[in-house]
Amino acid sequence: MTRENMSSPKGEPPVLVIGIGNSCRGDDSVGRIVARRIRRQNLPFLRTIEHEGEGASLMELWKGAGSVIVVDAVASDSLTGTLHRFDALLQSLPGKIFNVSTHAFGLVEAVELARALQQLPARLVVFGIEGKQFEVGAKLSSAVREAVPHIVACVLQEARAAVKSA
Amino acid sequence: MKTKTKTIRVNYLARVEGEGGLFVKIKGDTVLDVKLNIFEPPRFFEAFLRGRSCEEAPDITSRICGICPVAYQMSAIHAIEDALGLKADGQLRALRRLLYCGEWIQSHALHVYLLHAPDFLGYPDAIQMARDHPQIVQRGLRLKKAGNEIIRTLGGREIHPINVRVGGFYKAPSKASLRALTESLQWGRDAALETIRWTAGLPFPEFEQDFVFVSLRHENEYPFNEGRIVSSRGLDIPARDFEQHFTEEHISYSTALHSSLEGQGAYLVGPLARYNLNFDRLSPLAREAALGAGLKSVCKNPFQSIVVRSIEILHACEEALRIIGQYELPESPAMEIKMKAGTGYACTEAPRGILYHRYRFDEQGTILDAKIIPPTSQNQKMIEDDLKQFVSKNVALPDEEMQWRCEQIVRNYDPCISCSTHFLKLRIDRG
Repeated sequence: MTRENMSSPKGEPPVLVIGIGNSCRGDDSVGRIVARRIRRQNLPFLRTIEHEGEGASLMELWKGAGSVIVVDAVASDSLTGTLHRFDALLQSLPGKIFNVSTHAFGLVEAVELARALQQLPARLVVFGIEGKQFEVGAKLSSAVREAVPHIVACVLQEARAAVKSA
Repeated sequence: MKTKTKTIRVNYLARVEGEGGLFVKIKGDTVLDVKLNIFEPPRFFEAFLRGRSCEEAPDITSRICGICPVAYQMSAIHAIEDALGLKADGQLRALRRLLYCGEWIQSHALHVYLLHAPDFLGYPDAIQMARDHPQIVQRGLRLKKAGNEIIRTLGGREIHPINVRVGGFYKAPSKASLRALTESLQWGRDAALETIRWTAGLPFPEFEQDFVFVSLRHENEYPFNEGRIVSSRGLDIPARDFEQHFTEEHISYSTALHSSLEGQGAYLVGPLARYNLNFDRLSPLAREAALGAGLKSVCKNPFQSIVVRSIEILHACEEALRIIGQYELPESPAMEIKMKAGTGYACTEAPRGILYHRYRFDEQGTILDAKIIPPTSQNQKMIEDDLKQFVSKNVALPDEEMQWRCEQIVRNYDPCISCSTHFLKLRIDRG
């Protein structure tokens, strides 16, 4: 990692929150919903992006960024609405639970390719929210909807910690 | 002596868009069975479209795929405009073509560098490949970015562009915003030439089939948005006749429908078909680069589709530069729409091949029914046919290599299973 990407691009808030998902696939949209809720708060220390999860453009987004928080849906055996936290600088993302996306080159691949090319941001935390309904046309499940305020709070806490440590 | 039966199966086929399954069963030297399993076809979207305004169709259908949303938007728009008797020309037509260039560049760059190349170089994925060939992977990522920049500038954002509408665009881009893309596309043109030279040097198995190629053909352009549907066996029809010549059938092991060309059966759509049926429509530089790379005007080895995709990246970069160089702000960003009842048909060339849309709507523009046939559905039968032929001719290959080759054969088609399905698993059975 270069010193260059230890700071944010000039004029940008220090934290980037990327909410990943497909709005047409029920719980898969939760990352986007969280990003949207946070954007409405107009906080000066972060900016938010809603994203479909295509890996190469994710790499482009976080290239040179200081602190990045990604929010995406996952499918493991946990209770619906459970929040998982991964420090992507310290560990690989568990590919199996993040394969909700249909992209051949998605978030998990983007993190590992960025690691191989030394293009990870200075700080990269990934929140995975346990979903249940991922079919096209499905609605957000009630457990995920109820978990959204808690997820928003956790992401903001992470963002504030990132600002303090910068 | 009893002949040994063997099954080769891969439960999760990596490096394809979406997920699905594949199963191959061999007895002695004979391939008994090949099945490409696909679930969750886009029929749901067809039902989802009923009752919605036809003007919503481009945005709704673009949600089918995160890799080729432009293709869905373009096929939807052309089909609806066909029903309304509208035809875009001048700069609006050119801008649509430019948007498609962006999609081809980004989609092909992704497949060539991150999904297909590892097969030829012996890596399980692009991440392992990047450790040994970082510059090559970086070049692929930058090429992809050049395509994404076109889509973002013209479409409003990289994935699921929001600036596209029936009749044209919500807002026409300024000359300056398009001119700003020139440098990256000039770099892209040079990078595409390097890509062609690099891919041409990859090791290709000797494997040719007597394919029936199907693509669009335009009177003077390499096809993106317009043209007649032609085949290497003499078919030459307008898009509205598609369903009279192509049929779909249910297969017990797959919920995606298998397409057949009447009297021919399996057929191939995509870069190889476009190249073979439109070599003379490629730019002079793309033709020269193809011949320089050792390809002829007809290429029947599906493994070499990686070279053909690279040639199409070059053509798309050049075409984008040409359109940007000649761009003038149109008087209006969209044609005027006068809604009326009708049925419209269109085929456009998605990165993976022809994408057919048909819509019927009432006088208010409410969709009564819709039909969408994506390229991957059309190639399913051909993929199975390639597998049968390849396995039959190479039955002595060790299991590990056979499995590798079978997966590679599927990836030759850059199948976008998310367009037609959600899950792919591969099994090879030798008993």
